[in-house]
Formats: sequence, C-alpha cells, structure tokens
Amino acid sequence: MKPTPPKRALRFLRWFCREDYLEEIEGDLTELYEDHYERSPGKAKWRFVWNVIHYFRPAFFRLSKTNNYLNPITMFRYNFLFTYRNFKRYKSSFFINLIGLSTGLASVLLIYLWVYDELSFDKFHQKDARLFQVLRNIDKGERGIKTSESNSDLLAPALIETFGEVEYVVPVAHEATNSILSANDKKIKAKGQMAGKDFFNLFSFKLIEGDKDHVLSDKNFIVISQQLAASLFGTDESVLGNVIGVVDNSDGQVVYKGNYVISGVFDITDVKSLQEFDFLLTNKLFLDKRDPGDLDWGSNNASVYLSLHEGVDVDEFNVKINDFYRSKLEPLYGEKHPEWIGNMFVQRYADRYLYDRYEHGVLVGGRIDYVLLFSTIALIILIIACINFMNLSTAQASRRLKEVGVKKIIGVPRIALILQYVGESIVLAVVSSLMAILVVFFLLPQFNVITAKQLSVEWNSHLILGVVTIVLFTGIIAGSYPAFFLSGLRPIEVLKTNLKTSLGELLIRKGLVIFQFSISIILIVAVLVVSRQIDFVQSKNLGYDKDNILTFEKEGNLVENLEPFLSEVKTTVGVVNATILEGSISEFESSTRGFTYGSVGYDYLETLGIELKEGRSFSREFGQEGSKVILNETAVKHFDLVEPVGKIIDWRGKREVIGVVKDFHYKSLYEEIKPMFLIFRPEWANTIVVKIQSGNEKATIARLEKLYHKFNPGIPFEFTFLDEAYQAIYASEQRIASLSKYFAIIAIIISCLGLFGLAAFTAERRLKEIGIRKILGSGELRIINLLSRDYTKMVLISILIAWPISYFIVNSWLSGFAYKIELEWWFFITSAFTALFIAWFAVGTQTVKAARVKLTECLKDE
Amino acid sequence: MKHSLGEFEELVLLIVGAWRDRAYGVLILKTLEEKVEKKVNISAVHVILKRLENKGFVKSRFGSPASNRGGRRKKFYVITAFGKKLLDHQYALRDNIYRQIPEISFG
Repeated sequence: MKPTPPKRALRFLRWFCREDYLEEIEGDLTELYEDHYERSPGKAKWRFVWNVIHYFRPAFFRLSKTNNYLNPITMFRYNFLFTYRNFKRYKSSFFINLIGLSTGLASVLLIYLWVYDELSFDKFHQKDARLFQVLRNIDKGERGIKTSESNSDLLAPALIETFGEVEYVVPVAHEATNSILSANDKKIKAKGQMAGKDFFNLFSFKLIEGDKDHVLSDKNFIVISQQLAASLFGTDESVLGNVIGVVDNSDGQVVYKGNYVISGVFDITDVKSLQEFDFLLTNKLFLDKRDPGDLDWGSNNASVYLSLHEGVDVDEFNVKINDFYRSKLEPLYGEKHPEWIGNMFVQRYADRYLYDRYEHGVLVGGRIDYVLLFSTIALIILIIACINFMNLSTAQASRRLKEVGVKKIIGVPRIALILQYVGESIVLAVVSSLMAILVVFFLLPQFNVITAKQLSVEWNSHLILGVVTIVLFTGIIAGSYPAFFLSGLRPIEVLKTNLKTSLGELLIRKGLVIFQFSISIILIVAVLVVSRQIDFVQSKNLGYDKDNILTFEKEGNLVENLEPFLSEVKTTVGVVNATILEGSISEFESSTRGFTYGSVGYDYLETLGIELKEGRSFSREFGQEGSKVILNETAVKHFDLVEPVGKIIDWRGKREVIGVVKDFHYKSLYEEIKPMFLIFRPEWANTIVVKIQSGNEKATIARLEKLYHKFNPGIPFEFTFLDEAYQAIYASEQRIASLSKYFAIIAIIISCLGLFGLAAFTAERRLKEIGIRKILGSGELRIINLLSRDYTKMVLISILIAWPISYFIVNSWLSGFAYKIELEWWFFITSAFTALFIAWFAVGTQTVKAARVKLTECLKDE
Repeated sequence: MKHSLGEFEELVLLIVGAWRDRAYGVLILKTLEEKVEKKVNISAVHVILKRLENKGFVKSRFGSPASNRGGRRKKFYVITAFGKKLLDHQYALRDNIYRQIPEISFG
C-alpha cells in the first residue's frame, strides 16, 4: 500500500490552483512526498503541507472567469454609452430624475454649508482640547437650578495660585460692550470686553502687532481690531503706541472714560467665535474702577476661561474645583442660605457655541438642536429624491429587460450588471450635483438672508470631500435597488415573457411613495402650525402699544442731562410722548426672588399705552416717587391684596403701592406673565423710548436726530423701532418658519415629480388595456378614475400615517411657548387635501392624456 | 539582446539544458540541491519554469503516467533554440569581459 499524501492539503491545492498546472504540481509533490516518506513518514506529511502552502500565490491561482474576457475599460466605455443612450431615449424620466436629484442635492448642499459653518465655531484655538470655561449651577428655589457663566472676580487669581493643573486663567468682564472710541476727532461705536492679561496666550485669536504676553499687562493699554484701527486712523501703518480715547459707554454706572495706549492690534475677521469684540481693555482696569467693597466671593462679574496642562483629567479637576469653590463660599452663605452656593464645574470652551442650554443644571442642547434638525431635513430630502430614482428605474425595468436578458445569456456576471446600474445612477448624481452647485450659487445670497449668516462656497478640501461623499452616497443608494433587482432576474423568464411585477416589488414601490407623501404631509402641517404661531405671536395684544415707537440708548451727555433732553423731545413736532426704561420693554431682566421689576421714568405707562387698572402712574406732581411702586395684576393676585393701592410693601425699604397695571407681556411669549412691579428710578434706566405720530415718521426722526446731536455732537444717532426689535426676538422661529416652508415645498415638488413619473409609466404600460376598455364603451372619466385610484389610496394611507406623527411633532414644538395657538382639526384636513390635490394634479395630467388616447394608436401594434 | 535572466532563472535554464529532454520539477530540484547545494522549495522551481516557458526559453510536454506520482504524468521541459541562444549570448558576453581582467593580480 502506497502512502497517500494528506488529503486536506491536497483538496486545498485543488481548490485554488489553476487547472493547467495542477497535474504537474500534484505529481511533483507526490513524488517528493513518497521520497521523504521512506525516510520519515511524519516529517513528510508536514513538508507536503508546507509545500502546498508555498504554492498559495497569485502565479498559481485559478484565473477568475471574469478576468478571462472582461476588460474593465471597454466595459466602462460601453456602460457610459448605454447610460447616455438610455438618458436620450427616455428623456422625461431622465429629466424627472435630474430635476428631483438636483433640487434635493442643492438643498443638501445649502444645509451642509450651514451645518459646517455652525460646527466650525471656536474650533481654531490651538489649546482647543484643553480649553474650558468655568460655570456654576445655582439653586434658585422655585425657579429651578440656573446655570451661570459669571463668577467672582477673586476666582481667576485663586485658581492659578491653588491648582497646578491650570496653565492659564483669563477672566473676562463683559463691560464696555457699547462704547464710543475716539481718535483724531473721529468717533466710532465699538464693542469691547475687559480681559485678563493671558487672553492671547489662552485663545488663538490672531495678534498682528504687539507681544501676546504684554498687550494686556497695563491698565492703560487697549488692544484693538485691525478694522477699528483702519477706520480710526485711516492708515495701513503701525498704530502701536497711539492714544485712543474712550469717550463714553452707555452702561451708565461705571464709565471707563479716559485715554488708552494701543498695545496691540488683532485680526479676528476670518475666525468664527462666540466672543465678538472690537477692542479689549484690561480686566485690571475693570477691577480698579469698581467699588472695592464688591470684591468678594459672592460677586459675579467675570466669565472665567482656563486651559489645563496636558494629561489632566477633567472629571477629577471638576471635583477639586468644586470643593475649592464651596470651601470659599460656605463662610459667606453657609448658615443662612446654603442653597445659594451651588456647584462649580468646567465645560469645553469649543462646545459652548453648540451646547449652551442648561435645564436644571443639566446640559440639554442649544444650537446643536437646529444643526440636528436641519441635518435630518437634509437627509430626508435626499432620501425622497433617491426614492424617485429608485421607483422610476424599477418601474421602467421592463423596458430594459431585453438588454439585461441578452447580457446575462452571453455570460455577463451579476456584479458587472450591478456595477452598470450603480454607475448609471452615479453618473446621474454627478450631473445633478453640477446643476445643484449652480443652483446653490444662485440661492446662496437669499439663503444667507434667511439664516443670517455669511456663507460662501469655498472650494476647500472639506467641501470637496463633502460633495464627493454626498454624490457617491446618493448614487449608490439610488442605484442600489434597481441594480440588485434587475441583475437578479432570470434570463429565460426575462426573454420569454414580459416581467410580472411581484407583490413584494409592488409593496416596496408603494411603500416608498407612501413614505414620500407622509413626509410631505408632516411638513405641510409643520409649516401651517409654525406660521400660525408666528402670526399669533406677532399680532397678540401684548398689553402695550409697539407701533410707532422708537428706542435708543441713553449715552454721552444724555446721562447727565436726561430730564432736559426728554422734555425737549416731548415738545418736538410729531412726538407724542417719551420716557425711559431699563433694558428693553419686551425683555425685563432685573429680578429679585421670583419677582421681575423694571426701573422706569416718568410717562412710562402713557408712552407705551399700558392700561392702568387702578391708582395712578408715576407723576411729577408728587414728590418722592422713588419710594413708590406699581404692581401688575398677577402680583396683586400673588399677594392676595384686596385693595392694593396705598398698601406698603417692603423691598429694599418700605414702598407704597400707587397703582396697578393690567398684565402686559414684559417678556417673550415663551414665558408666562409673572408677578412684576415697576419702580421709579430713571438713573438706572438706559433706554429712551419715544412714541411718534404715524404718517410723518421721517421728518420727526430727522428732528429727533438734530436734537440728539445738540446734546451728543459727533455720536451717531442709532435707533430701532420697537416693533422691529420685537420681531427680532422671534427671529429664530421665523427662520425656522421660512426655512421649513422652503424645504416643505421642495419635498413636495420632488415627491410630485416621482408620482408624475410613475403615473406616466403606468399609463403607458396600460395603454392597450385602456384601448380595449374604450372599445367596450368605457367613458373617459371611468378610465381616469381607474388610473388614479391606486395613487389616491397611497396618499390616503400616507395621510393616516402622517397625522399622528405631525400632531406629536407640532405639539412638542408648541409646548415651548407659554402663549400659543390651539391645534385645530383643519390644520390636518388642509394638509391632507393639499397632498391629495397635488397628487391628483401630478397624476391627472398623465391619466387624462392616457384616457384621451386614440384607439388606432394604442391598438395598432401586434 | 533585450532579454536577460536572473541568477536563479539562469541556473534552472542551465539545468533544463543539461538534462536534455528529461528535466522535470523534482529532478531539477534535486540537481539544484546536489550540484549547487542550494535549498529551495519546489514551488520556487515551478514559478521559474512557468516564467521561462512564458518567455519562450523552454517548452514542455507531458510524459506517460508514473506510479510513484499517484498515476500522474510528468511534465518534461526542453530548452528552446531561443533559450539556447540567450545562454550563448550571456556566456559570450561574460567570457568577453572576463578575459579583460588582467591576469596578474596583486592579491
């Protein structure tokens, strides 16, 4: 009995080795094996296996069948040719696909630009990964835990002293944000902040001139932006060492008047940051100018930013910093109000832009919500556009069956067919993307207006990579289903008979249409609700009159000469009344233990048309108005006062209630009206409010400007209309409203295109049936009904799916408002009928055409 | 002549030529091991043989089934005129250059 070589190794060899070599190799191996076997059977076995493994290399591999005759270049050339001929032959479906895909891609590109811009904020800092901001959670009792970014002035120096982990700490006081700078008799309004000396070491804002260690080292130093330098001095030469005067800032209380030496010039035009500033003063100056008594651990004036050394664990650092902070505050509040102390922690600075909304001390979102929302919308639109392509190509499969059948019979492998169809859709996606890019160029200015951004198409590697990814993704997704479907068909069936549409395929096609229309209906409901709510907000009776009212800052000489100025304003022709208040009429900021209060001047109620329920308004006829208060109705209810006027309440001293006003909305409509009181304190108020007569606004404003310049020569007169400012509060809602409107329209258009294409196709395929029906006496209407019945059913199903989903979505959006519209049934009915009519319209043109077909035309063949 | 041979290729081609029409895989391997004292794997020999055949330096034919090979035929290789010419050329070239080495050497 002869020894037999190991079977498994032999089987392996036979599996991979090319046939024409096999006999020789097997023979030589066996001969060697027998040779070795005589010497040592065990070793021979191993050597045989070892030798077989040696043969496992490309030179001996069985040639794959495709390689035998498939030349990739020829293949792609022919595929291109087929693609081109196909497009040419079925122009309507080509254009439907092209329009659908390019609209979809254009929306996606626009959203991509926007999302990319949002994501790139504050990502340019070199210390990015180690850069943090210090935040505090403070328990405010009934109002929940508030997260605050302001900290004590003592914190920054204490941190660098105590913690070795900390590399740099920079306190920034947001003062001087509304300043007027002057040089060479030029005056310019500019936004400033007061930063610690390592500001440029911590952040990577570009310093063009000056040394980053020293630009903020002296309290007489000022660092300005390049644009500010250019507009103040008008030269390109170095302005270092020149003197700039801070003429004024309108904060009213602390004034940083004086001359400062320019120690540095920065350029932040090409970076995106949460911090916006035209100039920097030193934090030292800020501390210097304020009341030294305020310098304690209970103060909160500074935003504190810090960088940690490499390798420091943030969680551990958070624990340490919180312990440290609590140890400092316990002596202060520990006995009386332990809940005021709160907890300290740090958040990545780069995350602050997108994630800045804390609820009950927990991070819940911020701008990232919109980023996610619009990314989802982009994806949905892209999917809807892809669905069109998939539907049309599978529906048209029958037209190309012969091609597929012949190809399969001559032995084209399945993978090549799949490649062909995916390739076809990628070609279409590329053509559509070129169109989409054109569209984007056209629409970008408009898009920038809506989103309040300055987006531009810059061909950097990110964008190109993004576009290529989107195009490939679209091409592969859109082409995958037809590719697998067509290539999986059996050639005999394909060539012998017409394709019978399988149930599964029909279900998928219908399912896709239903999906498209569900999305469209949801979007219609969303658009209806959002625009109604915005209307509601805009037109709601706020309890005060916001028309024909203009507001401007109390600044410059107005601070000292307020009364003379106001009385002159009142006597100006065209002015109805004038007053002064703190902050903004629609956003009272001051609050004290659950109460909101506003500091106002004389004629507040009269100018704004707020109704007085009882008592009187602040008036010049009585003295000592500073110790009087006016309550709102809610406050009266809150205290259970029966006859409020004349009662005394205690708030920083005894105060007499002199009047009660009807509730008015002193905050945005997100919030309910809460107890509020007005106090008379014009010196704390900083916004001058002037009511003018309607009809002659321009002349009146010109007179006001003249008067303003009499008091404030050289300072530009900048005012806003109250109704415009009010609208600005809801800018983001309006942005969503208009964007969702556009995207809804786009989604609906694309869905309709798909339906249109499908209807055209079905009508064409059923032409013979229609002809026979007509011969047998069927009327046109019945045929139209026959053809559109299917689509009506699909839209009805989508309506049933979309209603609950849309109800859930709009309901949760509305719950953010304290004052909102009721969801009414007709929103949903309208959306349903809109969808239905649009569908009928899309299908109708095709079915009518089919129903009117001439008999001779449709029955002449065969 | 634009064709050239690697060292191992040249060796195998020489052996094929030396064995006239009796050269086949195992024999070549054994010759290499004995004469040149070179340890190689049989697969390496096959790779070279296929390469030489593709280039047209050797041609092959099947012999009759052999019992020590599990009934499989041997594949015999013969050097072609082209292969021989290449060898001649290569040796003439080397010989020519070799002769230019001065006979006296200063070891």
